[in-house]
Amino acid sequence: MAVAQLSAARIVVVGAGQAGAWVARSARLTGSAADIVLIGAEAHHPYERPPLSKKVLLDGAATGIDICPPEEWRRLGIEYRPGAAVVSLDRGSREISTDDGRRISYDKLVLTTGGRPILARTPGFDLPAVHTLRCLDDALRISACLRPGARILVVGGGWIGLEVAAAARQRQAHVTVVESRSRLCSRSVPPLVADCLRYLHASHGVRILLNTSIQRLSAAERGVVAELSGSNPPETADAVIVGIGLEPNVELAIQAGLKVDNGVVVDEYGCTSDPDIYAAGDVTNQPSPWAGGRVRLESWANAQNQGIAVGKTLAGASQPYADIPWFWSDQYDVQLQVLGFPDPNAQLVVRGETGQNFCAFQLVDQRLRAVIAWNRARDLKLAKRLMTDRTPVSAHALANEAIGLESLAS
Amino acid sequence: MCLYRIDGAYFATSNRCTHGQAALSDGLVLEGGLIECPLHEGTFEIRTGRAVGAPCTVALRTYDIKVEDGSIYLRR
Repeated sequence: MAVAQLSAARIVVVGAGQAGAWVARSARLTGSAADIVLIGAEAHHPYERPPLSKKVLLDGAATGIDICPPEEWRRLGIEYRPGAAVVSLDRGSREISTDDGRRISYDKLVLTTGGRPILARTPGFDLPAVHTLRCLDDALRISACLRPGARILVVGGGWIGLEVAAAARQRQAHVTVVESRSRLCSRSVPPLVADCLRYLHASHGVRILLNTSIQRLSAAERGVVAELSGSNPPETADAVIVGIGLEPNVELAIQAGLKVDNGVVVDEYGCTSDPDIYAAGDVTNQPSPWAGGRVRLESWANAQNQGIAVGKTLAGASQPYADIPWFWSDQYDVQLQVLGFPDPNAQLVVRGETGQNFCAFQLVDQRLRAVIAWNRARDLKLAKRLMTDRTPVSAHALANEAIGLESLAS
Repeated sequence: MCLYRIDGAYFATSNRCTHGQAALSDGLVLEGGLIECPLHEGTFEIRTGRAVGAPCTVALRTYDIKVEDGSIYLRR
């Protein structure tokens, strides 16, 4: 029986973000009696990252972001070790060591090491006025820069950049967003939605420079001066926030000789090329039936739900993970949600009023391929059912507001 | 406040999800007597308020209910 085979005396989880915290919780809540050790590099209790680019920037404080009440880790019998970086992994002796010189042995190891912001190699990006956003301390530092009248330069018109821009405008700072491509969020939404985002930010007073890159940053008397590509004049800023992507923290996996290819390669159970080592979250390269191949996903939902699936597997209740990719973004009074992988070749159907309150559906062979919901949380959930069940739907019905999405379920 | 009728019986809970800034009244009622938050898909047991599905880890407040002469009374 699977329970007996997988019952481990000690489970060690490396990384205490959304994925690691839920691996540990889920293994215990599913009934694992193992010693569970959760190791985090940061000093804080495990917390959720989505508020870092929203509420924490606006409040300048870290309230209400804990994954669970801090006392619950002890109540669940999960040993949480904060402030410890894992520096080596020895698969032969099944042991890891931390930067304070301790060694911890494991029966099952889980790598939930996440990623770190990509740093531009452009000259001047090492100046103190340049920030990236990944952890709570970053968010608190950036929040302190968002003062009324401050000049904020955002590099990268993706989700992090746009959420920072929205928070900065709500704090009455002046904001310029520089994006090297021809659209905002070009990798994850179709042009129609990218245009809505551009209009949203422009109407809130954000200056957006598309097809533009930064050639150099130089220290100025106050802040920095950015030399821009093309005929743009130099831009002076008090702070520069860079959001140009994430790279997975795969060093430990590479050092230990695990299979790594744009992330730690795992199967649908989160198992790596070593049967005693699992991985979950941003760091994994996983098979996804919704992508038709392997993907590495950077989202809260994937971190949490792949983590939960791994925790169940470790507790003996094997569960393949095949959720439809899903993420959201909050900007001003808009909540945007994206379900599935938008496909440039799919048929696009819009329900509702573009830019106000709408869903953009992408159809391939009368099946939903992707859904983007703009202030339509309920429609997204109903569409998810249609997508999960692969229910055939017609473009006409989706576009017709008089036909409830509930009624389209087979 | 969120009021539910499940198989003819009435229940009431707080309308505010204990995880995010969301109104549960915009969510979907799932099989097994669960309410799903429309924002992040966390779930609660409607009858007891117990947090069942991630990311919810804190229970939802529930209210005692009495139905009399076609009116529903809640105990604050």
